[in-house]
Amino acid sequence: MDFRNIVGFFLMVGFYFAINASPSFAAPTEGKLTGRQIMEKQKELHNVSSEFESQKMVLVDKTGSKETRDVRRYIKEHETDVFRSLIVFLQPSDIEGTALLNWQHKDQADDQWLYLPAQGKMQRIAKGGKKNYFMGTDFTYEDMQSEEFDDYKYTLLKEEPYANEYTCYVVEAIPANKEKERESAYSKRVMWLRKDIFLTVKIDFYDRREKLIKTQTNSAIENVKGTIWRAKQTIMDNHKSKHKTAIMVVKREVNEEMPDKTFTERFILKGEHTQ
Amino acid sequence: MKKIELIIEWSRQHPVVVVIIAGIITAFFALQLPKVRVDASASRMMVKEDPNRVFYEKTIETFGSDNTTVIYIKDEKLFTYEKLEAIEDIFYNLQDVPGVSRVNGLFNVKNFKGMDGFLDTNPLLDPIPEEQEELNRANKDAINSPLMLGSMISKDGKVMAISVIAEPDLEDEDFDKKFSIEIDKVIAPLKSKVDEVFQIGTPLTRRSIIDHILEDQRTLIPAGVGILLVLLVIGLKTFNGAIIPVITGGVSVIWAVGFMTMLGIPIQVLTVIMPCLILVLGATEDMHIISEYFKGIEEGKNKLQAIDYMAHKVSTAILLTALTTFIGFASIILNDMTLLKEFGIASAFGLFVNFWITITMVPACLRFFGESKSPFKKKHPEDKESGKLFNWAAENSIRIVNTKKKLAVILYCVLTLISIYGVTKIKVDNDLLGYFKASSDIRVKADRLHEDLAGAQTFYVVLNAHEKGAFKRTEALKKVFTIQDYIDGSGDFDNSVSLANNVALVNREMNGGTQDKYSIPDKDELISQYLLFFTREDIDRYVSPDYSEANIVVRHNLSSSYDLKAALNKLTEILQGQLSETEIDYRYTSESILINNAAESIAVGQIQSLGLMGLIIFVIMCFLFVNIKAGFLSLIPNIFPIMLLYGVMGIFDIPLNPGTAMIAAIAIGIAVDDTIHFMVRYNEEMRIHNNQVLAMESSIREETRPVVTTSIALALGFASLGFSHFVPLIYFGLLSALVMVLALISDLLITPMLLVSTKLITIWDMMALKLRENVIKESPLFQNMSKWQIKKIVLMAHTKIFNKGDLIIKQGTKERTMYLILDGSVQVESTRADGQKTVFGELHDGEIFGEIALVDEVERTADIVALEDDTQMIEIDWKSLERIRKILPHVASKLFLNISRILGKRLAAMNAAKVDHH
Repeated sequence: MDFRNIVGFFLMVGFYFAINASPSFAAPTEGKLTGRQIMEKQKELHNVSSEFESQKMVLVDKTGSKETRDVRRYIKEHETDVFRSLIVFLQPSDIEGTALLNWQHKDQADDQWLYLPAQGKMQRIAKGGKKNYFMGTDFTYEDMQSEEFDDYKYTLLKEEPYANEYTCYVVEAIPANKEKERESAYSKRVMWLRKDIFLTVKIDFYDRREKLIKTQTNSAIENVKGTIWRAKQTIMDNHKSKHKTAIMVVKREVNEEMPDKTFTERFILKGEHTQ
Repeated sequence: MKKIELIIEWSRQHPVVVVIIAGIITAFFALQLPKVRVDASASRMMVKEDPNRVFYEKTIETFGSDNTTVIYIKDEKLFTYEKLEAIEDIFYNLQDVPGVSRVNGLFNVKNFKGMDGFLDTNPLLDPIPEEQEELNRANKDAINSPLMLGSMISKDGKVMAISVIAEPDLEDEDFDKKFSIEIDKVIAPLKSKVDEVFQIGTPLTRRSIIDHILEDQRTLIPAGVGILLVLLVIGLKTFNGAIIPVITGGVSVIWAVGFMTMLGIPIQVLTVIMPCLILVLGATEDMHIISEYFKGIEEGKNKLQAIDYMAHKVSTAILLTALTTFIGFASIILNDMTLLKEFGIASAFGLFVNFWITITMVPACLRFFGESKSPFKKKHPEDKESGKLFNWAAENSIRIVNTKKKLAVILYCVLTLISIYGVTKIKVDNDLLGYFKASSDIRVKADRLHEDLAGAQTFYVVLNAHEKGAFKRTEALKKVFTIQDYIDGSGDFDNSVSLANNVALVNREMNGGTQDKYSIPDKDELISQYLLFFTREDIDRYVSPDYSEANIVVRHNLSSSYDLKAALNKLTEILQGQLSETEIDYRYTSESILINNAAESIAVGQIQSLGLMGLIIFVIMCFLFVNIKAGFLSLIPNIFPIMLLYGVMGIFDIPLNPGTAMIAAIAIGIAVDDTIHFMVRYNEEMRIHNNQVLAMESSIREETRPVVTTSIALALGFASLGFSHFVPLIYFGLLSALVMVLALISDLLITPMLLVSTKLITIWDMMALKLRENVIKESPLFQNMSKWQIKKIVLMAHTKIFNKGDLIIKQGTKERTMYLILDGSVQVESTRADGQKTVFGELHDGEIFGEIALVDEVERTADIVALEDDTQMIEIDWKSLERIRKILPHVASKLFLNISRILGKRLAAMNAAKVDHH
């Protein structure tokens, strides 16, 4: 696991699912959109200045055994496109108060601290590998990262009906340079974005041998505020390890007031994060 | 027994029908042959109903497969970008091999590392660092990680291992072989890039077994047939005669293999020798029979008569010998181990059909191309030589039996004592890797791996706390950690991995990376929080989803079940000590543990099949010789070689394994054949010579040739298994050969000694008596005696057969015997010195003569001469009567009363005759 990943994960949730509520926005007049344009549109529509979520996270292993965790997450835009985040575990009780703090930076790797209440101190985490799975989930850091659009080549493969309800853009993303190719666990990703609200509803992940290894599906989609849409439920199905991670959002607030001190060591060490 | 004779005669009359029927059945079984399967699954080395197998399967479900292949990679410059890049390529290609469930190596296993206040959890070589300095550090890190050292990297950092865990496709019986071949294909490109690369593990082992089985088939069967033909041509001195056993053997093999295939029994390490054994065993039997045919020819009979002569002579003996050999092989079915059970079934069936094929096909074949001249008559120079050899053996044997009895008994006792000492030293062993010679590729590779890294053998120590979450707590994990401390330091095992040392490693790296922190934290919560570092996949081999069960995966190099058992016994003590005051129970499991358990069954199976063999032979011999003593007698010369066998095995440290476990029962079944031949012959000789020493000497002279030839033939046949690739089969072959030779010596020395010192009556005698029951009952000798009393006396006597003109009693001799005529008639006569013959009269069925000798030691007063061919009588001697008098005085007194009455009547008659004469 990589504790850095969690921040990226929630960033991704934001970028992929926050969307302009206005259907008119999604229907540009100047002909067909390119893959890249679709992705950019998605990001553009999603930007939030802060977000709070209370989640239930369920891990299901190949034998069907389940492990449930209650998680809280806070994200705040520190400066333009630079975020700080905090993830706090509340249940089960033996991990209550475990927290991961992440500070993004413009041109360098993130700073990350892990707090294990039983140890009573903040532990700095080294720069993480993007392929690592996070906290026993099926999400890797890479899956959750806010991606730099220049790093990938996006191709609109087709438009097709999805779940008998919507039409989706099917966009393929492949690493655009050697560096990314080396860093990424995937040879490609194929994404389904709802045409009406520019919302990603499904992603297929292909490993470096071009084998489908994971599928992410987002469902129970709701409009949260203004142009912002979110999925209440996200499932990552790992075909290789036959393990699944399901995230259910119990409570969500976007663009509400959030104090900066939430993203400090002091806040955690004083135990305020579990209040 | 009469029926066997009839079958032989019928077959001789209808050779075409026999050939057609045999052809049809052969074709039927031959159709099964394309379905023959070669199998090397370890489950055959286990006990089928072993309850531990259920546990093993459940454990595999919880903690994953233990089917592990280790890829060994060695290079002087292993940690350079170029080499690692090539290895990484292979690492990922391995994941694509069908059946692979997981590939573990430095490229994907988490490397917990605390450095400069930061915690790093990235895999060591993902991505591979480009700077050499970083690579050197990675190399050091790997050696420094208790989870990597030994299992993924050698101490010197020059050897790396990739573990490939397979989830075998249970539907595909050839999975392991295919899998191992695929792995070879994947690693092939590395061969030119690193100093050394190879795979070792369960799939390769099984693939090698299959390959060796196929090679064995290619070498053993031709070797068997070759030895057979040479022996037959030498023994029978005729090609036409020699080809018959090859035909009957070949047909038997086709039937047996076809039958085996129908039952779903594959060619496995033991059944592979079945064709060879049937050919050799069948041939020795055929040799006995065909020799009799030629004897008939020698006596001037024509082809058909010679076949009938043969039928008459051998039917009883071959039925008996076939029966005992069959039982010997069938008793192997008593073993619990599938490998042995299947061998027992297949070979017992083969021998069973071989008998029927022999008694029908041999006469049919002889009818078609049996020679009508005896090849024995040709005086080959080597025949003389070999004749000399047989004579030498026979005469020496006679000399020893007659003069060195005491020495022989002392020697027997000494050897027996030495053997008993040896028996106490016998080890039971069941060792998959031990099937291969120490010089074999696979053993060399296994040793190579073990030199640098942990051995390729694996077992699980499954700990069950019966409580959810137990292994998230410090108390239980500390126990596990202590147990591992023992395992890693004991020297018996190579290393172990569990949840405990994963947690301890995180603890170490979270606390500055010093070795003193390599321990289980005291707070339960901290363990739970550390566990967040792991995905389920990281630890699913070590702990059940609900944390109620934990698993210690132990790597070692103890393929021998004997060594493993000793090591496990020590481990058990530690476990009991550690877990005594907890609710946690423990169990070992793995394929090797199940194989280990089966070793125990070898010993039990051995005792069972030997016991059964002994009992059956005892019963058969008791029945044949109507005497419990005969049962014991026949066992003594046959137990002796087995005793020596065990002695040799114990003293020379040859373990009891699936191969050597077959020897005793099979050998006793085969060796007893010679004893039967010998005892039957002795019995016949006794009727002729009426003297135990003479009968013994004559028996030895007559039997030496066939007994020596067949024993040597069998010994060579067994010894040919020495060409096998499998160590247990080599031992089986060579030790069986040894037992054949020992049994031969035993039969030539011990059997005659025993026979000379005891008195036996046979079933044939009994049958003759049965036929003459009325004669006996009505004889004045047994007047007023109960059936039981008569039987007691008759059993002390011999049956004798005389032909017309035979002199039964000679006037003037002093022999303390009397006779009762069962069938036929005799003439009482006296010849004077001048040659003039006076006939006193005739005696018929039920009458007795020579009775006076039982009363007093006097000279015979007349000659008694048989008047008919096949005159049967029973002979009662003074010694036997004395014995009866001691044991059953009541019976003896009645008999003496009857004798006096007869004497009295004879006296009265004689007086009357004198009076008349006067």
